[in-house]
Amino acid sequence: MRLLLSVIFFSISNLFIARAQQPVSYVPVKDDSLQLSIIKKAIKDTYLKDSAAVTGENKKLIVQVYRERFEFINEMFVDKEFIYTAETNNYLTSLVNEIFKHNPELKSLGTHFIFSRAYWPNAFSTGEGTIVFNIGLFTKLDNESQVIFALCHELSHLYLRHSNKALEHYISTVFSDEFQKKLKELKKQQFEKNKELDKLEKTVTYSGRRHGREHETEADSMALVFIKNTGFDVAESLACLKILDNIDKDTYNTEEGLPALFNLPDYPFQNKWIKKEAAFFGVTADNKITDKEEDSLKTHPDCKLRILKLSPAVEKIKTDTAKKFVVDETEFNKLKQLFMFEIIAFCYNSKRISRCLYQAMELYRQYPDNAYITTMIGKCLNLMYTNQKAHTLNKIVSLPSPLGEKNYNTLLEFIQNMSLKDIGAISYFFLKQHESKFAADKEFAATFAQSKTNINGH
Amino acid sequence: MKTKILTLFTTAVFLFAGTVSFAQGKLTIENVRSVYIRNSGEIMDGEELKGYFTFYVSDKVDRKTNQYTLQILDNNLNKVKDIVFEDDKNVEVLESSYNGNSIMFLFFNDKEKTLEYRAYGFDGKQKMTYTKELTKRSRNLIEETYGSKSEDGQNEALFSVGDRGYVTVFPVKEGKYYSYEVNYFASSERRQWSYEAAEEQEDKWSSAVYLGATDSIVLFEVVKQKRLMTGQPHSWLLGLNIFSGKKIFEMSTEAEDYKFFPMNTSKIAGSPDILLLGTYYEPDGKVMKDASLGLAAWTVSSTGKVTTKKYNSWENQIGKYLSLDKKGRVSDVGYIYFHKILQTSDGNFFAIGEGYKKVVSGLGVAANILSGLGGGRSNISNFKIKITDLVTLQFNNKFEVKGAQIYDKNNNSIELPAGAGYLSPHTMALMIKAWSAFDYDFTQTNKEHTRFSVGYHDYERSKDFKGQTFNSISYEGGKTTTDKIELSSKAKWLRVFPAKTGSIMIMEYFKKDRRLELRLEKMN
Repeated sequence: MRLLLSVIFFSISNLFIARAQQPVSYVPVKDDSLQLSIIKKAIKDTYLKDSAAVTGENKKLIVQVYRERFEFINEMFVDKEFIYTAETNNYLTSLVNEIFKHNPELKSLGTHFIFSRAYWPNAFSTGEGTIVFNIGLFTKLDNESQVIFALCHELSHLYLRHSNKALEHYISTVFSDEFQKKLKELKKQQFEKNKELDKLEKTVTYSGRRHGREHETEADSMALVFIKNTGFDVAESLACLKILDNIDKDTYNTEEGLPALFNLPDYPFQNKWIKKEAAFFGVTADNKITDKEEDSLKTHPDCKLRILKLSPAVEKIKTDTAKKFVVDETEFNKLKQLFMFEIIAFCYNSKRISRCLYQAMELYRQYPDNAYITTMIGKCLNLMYTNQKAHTLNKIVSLPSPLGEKNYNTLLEFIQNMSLKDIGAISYFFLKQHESKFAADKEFAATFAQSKTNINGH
Repeated sequence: MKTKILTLFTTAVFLFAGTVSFAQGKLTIENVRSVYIRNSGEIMDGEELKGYFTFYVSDKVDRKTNQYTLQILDNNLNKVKDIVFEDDKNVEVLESSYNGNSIMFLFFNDKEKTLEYRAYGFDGKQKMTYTKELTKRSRNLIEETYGSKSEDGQNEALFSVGDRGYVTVFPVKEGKYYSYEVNYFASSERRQWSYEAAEEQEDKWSSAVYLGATDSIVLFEVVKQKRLMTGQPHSWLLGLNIFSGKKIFEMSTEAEDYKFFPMNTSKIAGSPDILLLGTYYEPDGKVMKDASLGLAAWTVSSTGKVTTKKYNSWENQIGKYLSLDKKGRVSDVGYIYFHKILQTSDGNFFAIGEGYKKVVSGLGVAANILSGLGGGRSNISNFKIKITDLVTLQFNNKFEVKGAQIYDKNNNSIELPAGAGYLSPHTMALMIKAWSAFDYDFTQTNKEHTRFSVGYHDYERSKDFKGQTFNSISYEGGKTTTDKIELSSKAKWLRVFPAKTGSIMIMEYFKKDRRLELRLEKMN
């Protein structure tokens, strides 16, 4: 699924931008590898302990799922997806402690809270105690109370054992004697085998999705219970859901942004670079599934529906004394700013180069005098040049899609429409504009030198 | 590129996707399900590749019927539609064409001997269908046509005509006549016409190749032969009214000056005339035996009258740019077989050819000596064909030669069967093409003809690399560039397919993971 990212500016973030427009110096975060290995070991110990405690006829299956769950988290460690410094951990721990202080029953859950560098706005509980908060979500939120709602929502899933219940439900259904007997019969069936399998699959999927949606509503309600006991503003739960409802609406207009950024005196912008491909088959979504079925397949209830369901309870428990910030507003804004840069670094390091360029261009609008962002735009273009030359460009950039977000898609079409020479020249002449300003910056100098080598090849 | 799943903070539930495989003899829905890919191909809009289709059996309904799914991908490999339908278990898709408001598939039922044309709208619903029953002989002709499909990324018998509809041409056998039938299907209304050439055919054998269409005429090059085996082929140009299917003209392209065999047609900007490009021969020349004299361009009016003719001979005009002998052979390259002639939007013309020559076969000579000593005969000829270099010729808008370029590649050799060593150059070229032995793969161009790319494969034995390469010659904005991809991969096998102009599609199969990976790559 394509992810939509954009900066949505609300009242408080406007204040943030006013501050953020001051020159900032960003140095990529250095993780505390010792602490990360301690967390990883603790997660592994939990997995081993949970696996050893499993009993019953489906023991092997459940243990296999536990292993896959651990491998999923382990892969995130390997990919350096987790961000851990004393500062990020102290802040996250302070928020969590505020929740625990007023909800002591949660302390026994054996939780591990950790920030992920992922750019897409999400937070999730893996079911064994790990709760991951993507910095892509953090940068979209306006205050601590909204972060607390997301954390309490995930804690509720854990507290109510939603993940494990879903797993047990799936296993007890699919691996029941009755279901297995039916599958064995279908395996031998010569005709309409897949049609019958589709029907069977729908019974499992619908039931699973229905439970999933019930779990989401339940987690929202339970989150309110936990927040109510703290000093955070419970009304911000609704504001948080409202932000999520609009999170896919991107505000960075690439059709205007690309010519503004890359109309270079020595290499003028060419409109053919952003020429759109004619729509093929007039399709924007596979409408094979009817609305009713589509609704039945959704795990997550619509945010508007969640707001509607949650509002009466919020109205009942909200107070005038609750605060949007309890721990540290300055630190919240500082981390938000840091994470915006960190997302770019993560995208680059994980070879999501088209996404990295998009994020960097968007941030460049706010920080045109920032050496890191300027250099990162050049680095993206240089890497695209190298890969295009080696015919591996499409391994590091996404291809345009009629189903994708409009502005990001324009960037992807731009990448496809440029020739090798164009990519090299744009990088060189774009960086050249900043040469006098950032000449002392080593990373900038190296990137500029690389772009010079590239352009000299033509 | 890596993709991740967005869930807007939730609990991560493992197992729901049904992707987890289990041992211990437990079954899951996915390992009971079975689907079979029947075939796949490109979806063309004229000369432009718009996407791909995969045709697979998604279920067996009963002994005679299957449920099929046509999965449609756009030219960026995004899935845009699944069309699901039930049909006879013997159908396959021969080809597909797109015209901006619908997509047409040509289905062939081998057992029922039927061709069926089906157009689908954007909603995936069938807009119209037309079934043609074939005689046994006509069915064989169809199989021969598709059995020798010559070039990826080119339609064989189904073509979109603007955004109005589709035209199709296929061979038929009517009594003792070998003939052809043209059909037109409107896509925005229920209208269809047929043109059956056999109704007024005098020659024993007649075959038509679609050349192109204007706003009002559909054009075909028709080759006729008095007798099946011994007659000389004669070239005709047929123009049919696009609205009614009525014949507007059928004119011989064998004029008093030269015999002209058109290969491509092109509209002329600002003129109702049609431009035809091809090779030409002496007026009494034998096309199947003699080498061509050069390349010609004719303009023809909408009533079928030749308005201008321009000839570029090997000896004179082209010879200034390429060193040729009296037989029209280019030094070191040999004879040239032209795969494609096209005009770009800047007015230039390009002819893309490939060299071939007959040389002595060491293997053939040795085999024949050994066989002779034993009193028998070898089934290998003393000669073989050597496929040489790629050649492009460039002409200006008056069809005057502007330049020629030879693109060096490693030579391939093909042994010939006994007796084939004395065939004419033209017949040899047709044999090489039928055996898919040319290294040329395809030419891709966009609708506006602002750019084109020629793709061909080669085998490299250099210090740095040994193996197959895919090479391209690209033209855009008056500049020609070349590029090469070394086709080395960890995959069990790798194939290159046409893609949107300027790109290629690489398909890799990783046996260990049972994974088929498709990706597009831009050519430089």
